[in-house]
Amino acid sequence: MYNVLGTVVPVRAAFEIQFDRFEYFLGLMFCAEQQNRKPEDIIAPTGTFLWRRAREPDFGEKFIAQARERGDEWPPFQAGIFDKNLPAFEYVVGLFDEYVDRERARKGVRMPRR
Amino acid sequence: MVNDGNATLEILEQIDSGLYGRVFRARQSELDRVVAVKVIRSEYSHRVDAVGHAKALARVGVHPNVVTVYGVEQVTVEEVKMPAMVMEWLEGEQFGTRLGGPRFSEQEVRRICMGVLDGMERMHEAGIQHGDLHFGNIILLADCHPKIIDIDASQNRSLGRLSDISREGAIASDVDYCRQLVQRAFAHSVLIPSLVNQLDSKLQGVMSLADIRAIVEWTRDGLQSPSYSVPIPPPTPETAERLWTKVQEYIEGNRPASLQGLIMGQTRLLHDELRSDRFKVTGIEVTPERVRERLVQYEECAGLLLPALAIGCHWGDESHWNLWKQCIETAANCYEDLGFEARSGMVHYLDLRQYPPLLLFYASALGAFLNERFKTLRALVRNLNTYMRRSAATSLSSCLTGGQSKSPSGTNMYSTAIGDTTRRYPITSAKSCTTSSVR
Repeated sequence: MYNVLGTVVPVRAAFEIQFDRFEYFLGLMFCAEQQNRKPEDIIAPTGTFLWRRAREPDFGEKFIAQARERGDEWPPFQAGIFDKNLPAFEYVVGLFDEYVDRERARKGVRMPRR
Repeated sequence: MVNDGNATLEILEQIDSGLYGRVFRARQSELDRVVAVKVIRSEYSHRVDAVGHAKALARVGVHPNVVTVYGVEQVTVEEVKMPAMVMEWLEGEQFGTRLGGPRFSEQEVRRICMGVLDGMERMHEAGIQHGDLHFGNIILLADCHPKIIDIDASQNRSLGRLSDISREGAIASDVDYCRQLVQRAFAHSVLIPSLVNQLDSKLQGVMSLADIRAIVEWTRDGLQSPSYSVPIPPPTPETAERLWTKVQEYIEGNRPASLQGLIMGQTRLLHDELRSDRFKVTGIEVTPERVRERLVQYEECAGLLLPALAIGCHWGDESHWNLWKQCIETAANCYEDLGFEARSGMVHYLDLRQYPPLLLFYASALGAFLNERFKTLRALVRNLNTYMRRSAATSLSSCLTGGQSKSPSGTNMYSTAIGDTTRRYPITSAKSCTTSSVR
């Protein structure tokens, strides 16, 4: 993807961070759409962050911190995502992190204990 | 210009100007019809005989692929009296001009070639050599119906004056013109390049119009899809950079219509790329390595489009949804056009089928994310979520990296993703894009 979208974020390292954040956020949004399902029935896209951020289990925490800091002004809330509130968002992050853990285990990705 | 005869010719406008003469659009008031009037430039009047020219064309008679000559009238141009040829008025464009436009469909290209061959054969039957069948001497009417409009006016083109040997040479010259025209017409068609190459090979050394006709006929069902061939060099990074600059200009100038046109242009470019043999896989063993290689190629190719798609989300509110949707639909269509068959065990074919629409979805979503257009992102995710539920694909990234497909049906994934049961999507023009909300 970097080859074709590198023009948007020209520096590869910065692009990778942005891209991983994007893929993670996309996964969160899928989870949010399916949060009334059983956790084992949730289907969400994952991505290279499974491997690249395996040693950064607080990846979701950064989003939560951002949401907490900006409150209602956080753009995803303003767009009506995650029921526009922090507790709902934190719940979705937890849901998705569990899903990601299962995916990592299934794919044999080593990760530190939480 | 005025005419000196009884019939009145009202000159409406000059439409063309060549070495030997000028052509005007005029109205014959007595007959209330629009005609084309060709006058020979005074400086060449000693070399070119308008009357002889008209006579030669008139010998062909009325033929659907040759312009009809109505007669010759005396006119005065710039105070010089001279004969002018009055001809049927044709509403269309020159073949050469049309080569700069959209590609011909298979039906159109055959219609053009067959029409020109019919016209040339009629001329030869009438004892006339054309002698100057360049791309400006063929007018394409509506539906690409061709008309030969001119002959070389500077020489006596009557075949009857020639010896047998010279006559053969004169006809061979016309055959060569037709061969070149057929080659150019097919090269500008939607047929993939390798098929056009097959046609070119066959056209080498043709001796008669009948030979060319047989080859054009052969294209109906004789073209064989090629095997996977050597990849074409991918677009250069400069291409994407130029595109990026252009997109920025459009954004800064707040010109959504221009961007819309640009994106649709890029989509068509992608379509052409996909129609090339670069993406044709038939009659070969499809290994994972080969599939991966092709996906990389695909990504390079799609790179022409993606910056526009991604940055287009700069405006990424719902009103632009239809535009993105059209681009993705177009990519889905491209894949349908490639005609991959979903067969048991050919999972990699299925991966290839679902790759482009998802890639474009992904690009749009990334563009929306980077530009904090979360409403757009939400709309995209909702559609993508529907797609994943229906296709039972558990990992989007697996689709993007050539992993195992989860769809045994081989259906067009994008059709189901957007909840549309129609398998075919027309490539619509930018004008037809409407703005509507996506909820």
